[in-house]
Amino acid sequence: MNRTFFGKRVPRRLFLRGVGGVTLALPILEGLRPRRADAQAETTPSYAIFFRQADGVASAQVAQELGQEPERFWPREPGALDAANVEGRALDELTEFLPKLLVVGNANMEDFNFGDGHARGALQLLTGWGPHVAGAGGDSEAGGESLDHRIARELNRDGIESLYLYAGGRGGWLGGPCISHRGRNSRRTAEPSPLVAYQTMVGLSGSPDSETIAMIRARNKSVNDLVREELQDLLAMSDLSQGDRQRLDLHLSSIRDLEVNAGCRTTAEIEAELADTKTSSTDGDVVQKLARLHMDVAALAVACGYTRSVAIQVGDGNDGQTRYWVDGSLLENYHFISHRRLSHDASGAIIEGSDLLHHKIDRQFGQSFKHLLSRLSAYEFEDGTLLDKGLSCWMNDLGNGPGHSPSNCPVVIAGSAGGVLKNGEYVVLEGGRRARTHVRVLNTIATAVGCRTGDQDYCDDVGDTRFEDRSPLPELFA
Amino acid sequence: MVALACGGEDSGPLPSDGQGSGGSAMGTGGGAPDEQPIAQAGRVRRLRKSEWTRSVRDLFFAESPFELSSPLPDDPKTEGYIFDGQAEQLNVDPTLWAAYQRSAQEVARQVTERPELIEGIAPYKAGQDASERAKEFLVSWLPRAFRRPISRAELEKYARLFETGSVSYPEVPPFEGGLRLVIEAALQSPHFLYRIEVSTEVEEDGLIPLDGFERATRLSYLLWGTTPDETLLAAADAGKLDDEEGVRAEAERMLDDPRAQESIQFFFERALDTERYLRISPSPTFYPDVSKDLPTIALEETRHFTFDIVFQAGGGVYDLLTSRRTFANASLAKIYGLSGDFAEDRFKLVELEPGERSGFLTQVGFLASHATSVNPDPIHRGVFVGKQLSCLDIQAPPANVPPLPDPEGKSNRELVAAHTEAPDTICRECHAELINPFGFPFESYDAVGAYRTMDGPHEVDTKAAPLIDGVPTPVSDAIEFAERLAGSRDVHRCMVGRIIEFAQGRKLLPEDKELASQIGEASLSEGLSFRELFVKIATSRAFLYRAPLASKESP
Repeated sequence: MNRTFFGKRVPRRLFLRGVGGVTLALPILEGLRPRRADAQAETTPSYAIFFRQADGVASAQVAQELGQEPERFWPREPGALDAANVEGRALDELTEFLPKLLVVGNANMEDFNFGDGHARGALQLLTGWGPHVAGAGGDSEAGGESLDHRIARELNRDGIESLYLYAGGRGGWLGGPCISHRGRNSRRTAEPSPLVAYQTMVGLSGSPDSETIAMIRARNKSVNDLVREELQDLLAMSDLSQGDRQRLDLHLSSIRDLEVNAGCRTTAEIEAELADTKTSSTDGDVVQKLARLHMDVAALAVACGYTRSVAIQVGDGNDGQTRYWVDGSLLENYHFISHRRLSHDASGAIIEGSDLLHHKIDRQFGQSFKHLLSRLSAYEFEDGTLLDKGLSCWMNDLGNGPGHSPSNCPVVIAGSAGGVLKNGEYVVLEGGRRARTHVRVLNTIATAVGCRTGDQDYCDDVGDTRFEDRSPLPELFA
Repeated sequence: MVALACGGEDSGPLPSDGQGSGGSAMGTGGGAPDEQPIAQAGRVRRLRKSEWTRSVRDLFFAESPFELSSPLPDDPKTEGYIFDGQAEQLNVDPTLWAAYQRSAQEVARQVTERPELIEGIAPYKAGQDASERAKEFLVSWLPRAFRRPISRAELEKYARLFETGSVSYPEVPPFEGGLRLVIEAALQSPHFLYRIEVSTEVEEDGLIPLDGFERATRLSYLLWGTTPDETLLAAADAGKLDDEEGVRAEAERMLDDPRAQESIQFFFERALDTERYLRISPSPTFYPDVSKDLPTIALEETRHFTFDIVFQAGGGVYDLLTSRRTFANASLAKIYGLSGDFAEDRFKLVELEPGERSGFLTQVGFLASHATSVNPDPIHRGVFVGKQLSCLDIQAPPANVPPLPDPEGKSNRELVAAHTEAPDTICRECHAELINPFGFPFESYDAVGAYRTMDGPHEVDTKAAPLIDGVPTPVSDAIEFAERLAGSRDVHRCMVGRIIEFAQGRKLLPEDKELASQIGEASLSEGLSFRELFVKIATSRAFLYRAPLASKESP
């Protein structure tokens, strides 16, 4: 039986609450290589994987630095996505997956006063919230919870948080990792190492045999039991602040999370590849490789039912450290390229041809996103692939580089979340640049993967409460 | 007196005396030390990443940090808090817990594979059997790991765990197996991972005195950034930290120890925002002779300079802003216009030209990191002096500020002034009287920090009237400006406020401002050294006591 939402038919199973305990029937995966999953596809829960790019894209614009720049990102026409529609645009990197894509145009953020365009974009990207403190620039924090965290909080089993992964140099603008937030002024730490992310998920390192695994688990259990007892004793102390209690409670649940995660392992070869990778770099090739390894882990994580939400961030607040390789040359850092100038502000010398360089960097992000889609497609079900079961979303903090525009920020969704969202289309949202549509995109995604607001059959409470309309966008549903 | 409208919310240790110097106010000082309020704080504070790393190193008397297959995740950044990891934000989430577990296992393995480390924590005595040796290890090492005496129940619990080590690690001898399992567990214990303050007895004045071990822990992480040594724990055990004099004696001893250098240097790196040096990127067209390694060279100079101020010259805030003693290699000597033999890989003590240089603000690191690739950047130089040194609230500019236009014959200063001080613009509100006057005195230094008298065809104009202690104060150049800042009440209070933030692991609260005022006044009037400032804060009531919670729901 299906129910209606805004006149659209949505599969009944998406309205089941508390489906977090239902996991894919893949208790122990042999590897990331293609394989057929057996039954229970019907119960496969949906998921969202977010892939963040900074600094806008090389779209049509008039910039003070280079004058008129041609369109190099968006499809030519709204409507069906085919090869002709994206030819010559960065999106043609995804030609193979066009039938699975929903490209969303005119997703506009609010021009909140963060005191910095990058802070406004990066901190609003997944939260839909304005700043914790107005005008704080590089010291900004978000005013509310991010969507990746919300999805995990509502849909993951046992309160496991979303997987938050980072590829880039250490530190940097906004302190580096900055898109995932537990709530107001509560930023999350990202994991820079795909190997560590993987080990965290499975609770083991190396490739031990089953006897050794049993011994390790027994050893960990004896230590965990002791630590748990100590934490319980501390929680019994009088005069503990609420913050202290929450801290100790989170510690306790973290121990439990790690214990229940085991059983979703990959092959020794892939473990070796994960191990043989730097955990931070400013070299664009290495950064994108790291991002793709993170994607391998992300695909495994959603395949195993470890989490239903992953956020992968590339580069710091303004990605001002990563230096990409284009046509055999090492470029200035990406932020300079996006500014079209040799500076982090608007004062440096102009970089000739930087609009084209920006486009070529956009293509590298497109290639990495394609890697994720390929990985997800490798998990096959009777009625489709893992890619179809959930959604993956390539997003950008800004609409463009030089202007730092909060309007028309790229949102490229792949997968229909089990038939809920449209696929194979480029939809330009209505209302022009004044319409605050980005926050509604977030609620659309939340709804598609199964989040709900109260007793409603959709979600409309993601993002800043000052927005007049946070409802999902009917035009994005199938 | 100038009233400004561009201040934001009070987010830092703003030390103004409330006379309208651009932000919110704090008290004027004057309350007796034993009347100063104390802010409520949590009792369970997780070690920062750097504290964990050093503590583990020192627990095993290792010479360097243990090599881990993957480092611990970085601590989360907190808005407005310039040091790593504000205490309230330091949690153990699944990712960090997994990292702690993995790291504890790796450290335990490495320790038990290195006989010299085993000997350091569990020395073998002739004729001693394994169980006696194990007990001695537990009795001597666990209190060091937990930074306090352990209870009988704890001893028995860990002793039982030790006994199961031979089963858990059948591939190693039983003693090493037990050692390994206990180390693994202790490094994952909340008693190691958190600084826990258990004292609850309220004195007549309504405050709770921390016990000697809790004070030892606070002292050690403030001054060393690591776990207490045996001497400090012994002092706590002997009751020597029960009074201020005892704490002072230990603080003095600790500041003489090389371990103080790491922690104090970290303080200065954040207080002076040396992370920004990574942005130094002068245009090779305009500065073809400048080393591409200038960011790291400048950082090295600042490290030498602050080390010299604190640990060699016994200097304080005044010296930070006026000392001409610094350290230069060949690249820096060229920028500073020094003659003599300089090597690229060696930094030499030098005395800079009195008419050109005066303290940190006239050094390459600050100047070049607050510059575009071509020109000095008086706006960001000014913002640094206002926000970071004077603790004034200066809001970030509105979004999408247009870039500086083409100079069209103007000097850099004229261009910035024309762009930011135009009548009836929102920019003028903050720039005309606050930001620009803080930055224009530095126009005599180019984008890499070299001294200049000409800006292209223009003579540089360094005259300005920056707001010092709430009053527009005419200065003729950066040298006079630095001298005035060094004599500023606001600047001294601000620096003291930074130390309090560092010590408390959080942003300054209203309850801290009385203390910042009092010590700031002493810094100014008595010329206290940084060492003395750290000791004063370490012996303050706010550091040695805690306030009981007013309600179970706060803070």
